[in-house]
Order: sequence, then C-alpha cells, then structure tokens
Amino acid sequence: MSTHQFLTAKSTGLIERDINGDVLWTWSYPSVSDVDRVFFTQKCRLGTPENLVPFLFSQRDRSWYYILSGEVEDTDHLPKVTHVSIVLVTKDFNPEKYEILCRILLRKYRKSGNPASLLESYLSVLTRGSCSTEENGRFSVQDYDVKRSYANTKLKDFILTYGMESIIVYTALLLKKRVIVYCPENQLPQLMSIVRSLPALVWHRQNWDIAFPVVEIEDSEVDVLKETTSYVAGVTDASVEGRTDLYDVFVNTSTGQISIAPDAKESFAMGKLHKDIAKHMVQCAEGDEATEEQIIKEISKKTTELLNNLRSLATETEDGSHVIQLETLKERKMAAATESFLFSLAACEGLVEV
Amino acid sequence: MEEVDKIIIVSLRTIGCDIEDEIASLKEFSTELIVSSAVQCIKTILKQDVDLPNTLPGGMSARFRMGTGLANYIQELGYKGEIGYQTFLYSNESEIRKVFMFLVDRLPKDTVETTEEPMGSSALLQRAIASTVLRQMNSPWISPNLKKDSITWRGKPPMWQREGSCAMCNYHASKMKFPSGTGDLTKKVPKELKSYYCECLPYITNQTRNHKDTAPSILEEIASEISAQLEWENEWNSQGLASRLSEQEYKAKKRQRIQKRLAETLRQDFKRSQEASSSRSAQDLQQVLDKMGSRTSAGKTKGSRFTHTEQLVFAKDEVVSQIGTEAEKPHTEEELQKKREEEVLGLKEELESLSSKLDQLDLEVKKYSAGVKQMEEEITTQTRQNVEKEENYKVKKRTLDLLPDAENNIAKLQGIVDSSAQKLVTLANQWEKHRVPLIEQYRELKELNSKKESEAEKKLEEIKVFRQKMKEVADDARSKEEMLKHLNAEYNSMNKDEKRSGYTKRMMEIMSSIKKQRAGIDKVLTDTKSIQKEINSLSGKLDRTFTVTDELIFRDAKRDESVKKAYRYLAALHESCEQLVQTVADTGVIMREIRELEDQIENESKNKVLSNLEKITSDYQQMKKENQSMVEKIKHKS
Repeated sequence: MSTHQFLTAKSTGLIERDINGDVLWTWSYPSVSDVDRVFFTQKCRLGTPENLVPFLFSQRDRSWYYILSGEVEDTDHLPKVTHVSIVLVTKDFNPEKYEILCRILLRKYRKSGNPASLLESYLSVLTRGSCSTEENGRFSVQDYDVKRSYANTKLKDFILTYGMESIIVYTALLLKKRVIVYCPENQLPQLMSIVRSLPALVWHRQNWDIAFPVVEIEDSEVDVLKETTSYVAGVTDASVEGRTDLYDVFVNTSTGQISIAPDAKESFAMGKLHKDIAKHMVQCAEGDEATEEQIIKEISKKTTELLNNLRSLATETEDGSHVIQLETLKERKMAAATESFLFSLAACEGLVEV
Repeated sequence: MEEVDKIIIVSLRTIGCDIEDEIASLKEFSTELIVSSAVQCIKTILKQDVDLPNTLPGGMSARFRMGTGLANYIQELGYKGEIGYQTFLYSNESEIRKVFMFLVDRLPKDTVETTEEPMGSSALLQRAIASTVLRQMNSPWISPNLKKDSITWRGKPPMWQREGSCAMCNYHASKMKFPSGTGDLTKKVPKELKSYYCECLPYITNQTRNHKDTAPSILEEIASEISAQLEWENEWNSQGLASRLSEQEYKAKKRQRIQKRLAETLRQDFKRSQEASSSRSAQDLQQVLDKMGSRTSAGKTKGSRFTHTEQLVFAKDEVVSQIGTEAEKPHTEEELQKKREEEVLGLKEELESLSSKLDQLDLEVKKYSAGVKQMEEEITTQTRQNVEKEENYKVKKRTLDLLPDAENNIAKLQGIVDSSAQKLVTLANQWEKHRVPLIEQYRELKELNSKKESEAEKKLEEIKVFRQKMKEVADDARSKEEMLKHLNAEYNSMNKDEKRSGYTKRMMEIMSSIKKQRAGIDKVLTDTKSIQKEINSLSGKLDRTFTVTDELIFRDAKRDESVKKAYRYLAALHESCEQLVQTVADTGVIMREIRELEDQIENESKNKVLSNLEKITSDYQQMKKENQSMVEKIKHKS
C-alpha cells in the first residue's frame, strides 16, 4: 500500500531561449543537478526552435520527465525571451495530467514573468492536490486517473499499419523482450504516442515503466537501456537499426517494417497460436466502430485466455505452488516453437519452478 | 608627297625590289625600276606565276607587249584609272604614284603582318624547339662513344647540345637529409646538431646511392616542399582564418583531430580483430574438445586406427602389399569386416547416448535461463518495493505518532504546510530579485560577445577579400611584366625604318593644315557671298536712284534748258559708270581665266609631252626597223 500523494513530482525547472539564440536554464525548484540541467536543456530542443516539440515526455533514472515548450508572445512579461520550456520531473506516468499542469504553470510564469507565481501553484498542487487556474478554473489532481492515461493509446492505427506483423511486437512484450521503435526526428509526437500505446498490449501487467518514449543513443542513456532487460524505447536515429545488441525487435515507422534481431530469432518462432491471436487483433482493429478501449479489452481477453490455458497445465509441487514444468509441456507434443514460447511465457509470468 | 613616296619605296623594298638607297622619291624612278617593281608587286599580290619578265626587255615590241601586259594585269586587279603601256614606258610622276599606291594597297596583308606574330610563350617554345632540332639535324652524326654523356660542342655558332638518349637515366628519387633551421639566424642551433651538420651529414650529392639520382631527388624534395607550402596557404586562407585561431593553435587542433581519428580506427580494427580471433579461439577450443573427446572414447581411437589401417590397406596396396601382406590379405579382411561392424554398433550407441544427454542438457539450460529471468525480475521488483515500503513505513510511523491528537495535528500540519509554502514563495520572490539582474547581465554580455563575433567575422571576410585582391593584383603584375618583356623583345626585333610616329605626326599636321585651309576657304566663301550681296544691293540701289532721278529731271527737262543739260550729263555719267563697272567685272573674269590657263599649263608641262614625243618617235622608228628586219627574215626563210 502506498501512501496517497497528490503529486509525486520531484522537481521543476524553466529553460529559456533569448534573442541572442542562447539557451539557458533559468530557474528550478528544488535544485537540479548540473548533469540533469544539461540533459534537459538538450532535450527541450530550444536550440532549434524550428523543430520544437510542444510536449515531450520520457523516462530517465526511474522517473518521468515532461517538457512543455512554447513560443513567447508579446503579451507575456518576458522581454528578450523568444521561447520558454518548463520541465517537470515526476515519479509516475500520466502525460495528460502533467501536460495540463505544465500548461497552467507555464502560463502563470509567462503572464507574470516571475517564477514565484509558478512556484505557488506548484506547491499548492503538491500540498493540496489542486490549484486555481485562469478564468476561475480549478486544476485538481483527482481528475486525472492514471488508468485513463494508460488507456489513451493509438493501438488501432498501429495494428492497421502493421497488420499481422504486429503479433511480433505483442510476442516481444509478452516475453519481456526489448523493442525499439524508430521515427524520424520531425515526427516525435507520433513516436511518443506509439511507444506509450504499446505496453497496453500486455494490459494485465499494467506496467508502463518499460516505456521509454524518447531515447537518444548516447552513452548515458544507452547504458541505462543495457541494464534494463525489457523495454519499449523510441529513437529518432535510424542508425540504431545496426546496433542489434540493443534490441530484439525493431519497428521502423518510416518504412513500415518490423524486423527481428538475428540473436533473438529463436525466441520468436511463431506457431498456430500466434496466428490465431494475430488474426483476432487485426479483425478487431479493422472493425469500423472499434475504439481503443475495445481493442485493448479484446487483446487482454485473449491474453488472459492464453494465460489461463497455461496455468491449467501447471502441476503442483511440494510446497503447494503451481508451476509449469517443461516435461508437462513436452508431453503435450506441441510444436517446438509453441512449446518454447509457452515455457518462456511461463517464466515471465512467474510460473516456473526455481 | 615625300612621305607617300617613302612608304611606297619601303614597302617595295620589303617585297623584294632592289631599290638603291639613294632613291628617295618616285620622281627618281627610272623606267626599268618602275617596271621591275610593278612586276614584283603583281607577283606578290597574285602569288602565282606571272609571265612577265622581271626586267624591261630590250626590243621595242617586247617592251610594248610587256607594257600592255602589265597594264592588263593591273586593270584586272581593279585599278579604276586609265592605264596602258604608256603609263610605264612614258611615265608621269603623278600617274605612277597613283598606280603604286594602288598596288601597295593591294599587297597581301601577310607580308605586312609578318612581324606581328603572336609572341605567346608556347609559340616561342615551339620556335626554339624547331630551331634547335633543325640545327642538330644539320650537323653530321657522331657515334655515341665519342660523346661524353651525349653532350657535344658543335653547331654553326658552336654551343653545347645533348644528342641521343644513351645517357638518359630513370627518374628515381630517394629521401634526402638537409640541415634544417639554419636559415634563421636568430634561432640558435644546438652545438651537437651543428657538428652533425658540419661533419657527419654527407653532401647531398653523396647521399643517393646512384649519383644520377641526385637531381631527381632534389627536384622531388623541392616539389614536395612547394606543394606543402601551397596546400598550407590554401588551407590557412580558407579554414584557418575562419577558425580565428592563431597558427600554432590551429595546427595543434588539427594534430589532435588526426590523432583522434587514428585512435578510433585502431580501436575499431582492434575490436574486429579481437572478434575474429575469439572466433578463431572458439575453433581452437572446438579442436581441443574434439581431441579430448577422442581420447575418452576408445571406440574413436579404434576408429582412427581402423581408418588408418584402411588407408594403409587401400592406398599402399600396390607398393607394400606385394612383399609383406600378400599372404595375410584374406585373413585381415575378414577380421576387418567384423571389427568394422562392431565399431559401427559401438559408435551408434555412443551417438544415441550423447544426443539424449544433449537433449537433457538443453532442457536444463532452458529451465535455468527461464528461472534466472524470473528471479532477476523478482529481485528488481522486490528491491523497488522494499524501497517504497521503507518510505511508506516512515511516513506512516510519523502519522501514527501524530494520530492521537488527529484533528489538532492535521490543522497544525496544514498550517505548517501552508506557512512553509508561503515561505518558499517569499524566498522565491527574493531569489527573483537576485536572479533577474544576473540573467540580464548574462544576456547583455552574450549580446556584446555575439556582436563582437559578428564584427570579427566581418573583418575576417574583409581580410579574405583583400587577400583575394592581393593575389589578383600580384597575378596581374606578373602577367603585365611578362607582356612587357615580350613587347620589348618585339619592339627591339622590329626594324625601325618605318618611323611610324613620324608618319602619324605628319598625318596629324596635314590634317590640321587641311582644317585650317578649310576654315580659310569657308571664310573666303562667306566674304565672297557678302560682297556679292553688297554688289547686288548697291547695283539695285543705283538703278532705282537713276530711274528716280531720271524721271524727276526728265519731267523738268521739257521746260528748262539747264535741266536738259543736267539730264544729258546724268545720262552720260550713268553710262560711263556702267562701262567702268563692266570693265572691272571683265577684268575679274579674265584674271580667273588666266589662273585656270596657268593651272592647265602646269599640268600639261608635267606630262613631259615633248620628251615623250621624242621617245615615242624614236621607239616608233625602232619598231619600224625591227618590223622590217623581221619581214626580211621571213622572206629569207621562205
């Protein structure tokens, strides 16, 4: 049981770009380390305002960061500033909530030119769970349930784009493998939406910590990825396709192809089981009135079916726990691919004897 | 007129007419000279064989024929004036001048332009090559043994020349060592280095293995130095200036960059070689395992022995079998067969057991890996949960402590939270007071810096432009110097007979005098016109006054005698005055006629009519005589 926190935010900061084209980290609460500052300044992409991404979020160091950027208008109290971004670092994943919050805070800052007003609202959300916005509105943390964020996906488009091949991604997530999605730099919002949608394929786990929407391929982040055993990462550098040591499945949105790394090919041997599920997924997505929720529901139904079937094969051990044993699977005389797939799935679900 | 004559004489001389130096004007041209020069002109113009003898023939009829022939040619060339045999035989200065002017005009321009060949360097070079080759070809052949290194001293103006290719050698350059740093007198060369340069370092002529390589090696060294210098200049001009570092810094940076790249490529190659070697080491491992495997199973060694014997049996059948194994052959074959079957069985069993072992191991590996995965995950989740739980525990403990007095404490906590929030906000405001000016300062300084940078960039651009201009100006100067040299050479080689400047001066003088004359003529004309007008008006006036007076007096004349007298006197006066005027006019007319006649006389006198007439009569007599002699000859023959 975790304690109830209004806001799991750890820190917030402001980055500005002035008329000399110089990007500077101007304010933060509480303090933010230099390394983090450099990282966020790079991420906010204020150096190239043409490529500005309005709202960017990703994972770093077990915490989520959200960056909202915008151009400064004449009505704002910020002379000599052309663009400003606000950075919010939190522990949980809830892009909708934090986007609204960032917007409110940023607007407060722009209107007053004084981050103290920003701080006020921030603290009020932190302590009371809500703050007042413009036009006499109220921002309340409770309005933003995390499940809504989880369900805010674009799976329909994904399945329609990749058709039967999306089963590869589904398998990868089931088997807790590493997936990398590539999108060209100017389609960053699309990349983020894809990466945040994919964990919904394994809805029963409800774990969005495996999602890393935007990752730069440089040493610090690559090390983090290398330590994680399973993730869904988004990159904007096409050369990552060559680094087969970093992924098991590579989704290339510009070519519309899904490729498997040569080292991982054995784990992805598909059988009849997969084909069934794939067909079902595609059918669901193609239905005209299919909404995201329906798709997620259908997929999770299938997954639970699969897991139930698997659990039925469990044998009881001495200490009373139900485990799957390879021998039982072998007795079933299934195809080798299905057999190994089921066994790995069992391992991932914690059903294997240790 | 003298200038025209001079020009004509000079051009005639250039085309090859033999004109003596004393003759300076066309007046002094004798008939023979005129004819021979005309023939030469025609030959040069037409460039074909003109069947005219170069000199005036002796016989009159021949002369006559030649004269008409010449005249025809010249008329064919397009001469518009009247021309005939008389122009040449009985010449008239002005006519001859016209003819020669026409001919000289018609002279092909090539002859005039021979001195204006382009003096380009390639043309010069080619001409030099042609002249040397010609000279060499003109000298007789000498066997190569008599020449040292194919160099001889001969030729019309004797000079050294290289003949033949026996003494040529390959262009082979080798590295040479030069003393460096001795050119800069301000820098001291260390003693040891100096002594090395003075005593130990051999002369460059001694440094190459083959003496003939000295020249190529030096050329290579110099060429490489020059190209390095040029490269460096180019690079410095383009990138070095742009980077705004001093020369040393730029060079240091470049060195660093190159070292980095070297290190990276080496690293990559090392990685690749490691992978390759690791795969190789895997192969070695495999071999070792094989060896080990072969040692443990006896069947294999049997097999190896078996194969060994098999090979012996089948390969060395012909060679060895004859002597030793003939008698044992049927014996060993049976035994071999049995052995074979046994060994096959044994191997099959082994294979089965090994494959089952392999399957088992496979299974275990799978299980273990799955187990490992599971465990890892559990570990991570558990650790994370631990941390969370610890935090929660702390918070809950604190809340528990505060729980008894819940309401109060909640209110207190709320108050504390609110007040700390307020404090934070005030702190933030205070911080703002410090932060904003600092940021302003920072931004201003950055602006200044960027301005300076842009100024510096502008200056760099200017420097670049100036350098470019400098280069261009230097190039220009060089090319102009070369041109100057060429033109000087040309000028010196040209002959100075023409004195073109003198001609141009005279032409300008003539033009100015003509202008003046024209002005004078215009003046005179205007004067004449005005005088004529005056005369007309005066005569008109006179007439009118006379008629008026006439009438007036005539009216009175009928009555008065004195008036009649006066009238008679008036009439007489008028008449005599009219006569006077008439005489004056006549005088003027006669004067004009006199002038015209004088001109005509001059023109006619030039024709030398009398002398020509005498000549013609004498020639006519001669022709008659010749005709007669020819008629007699014909009569004799017939």
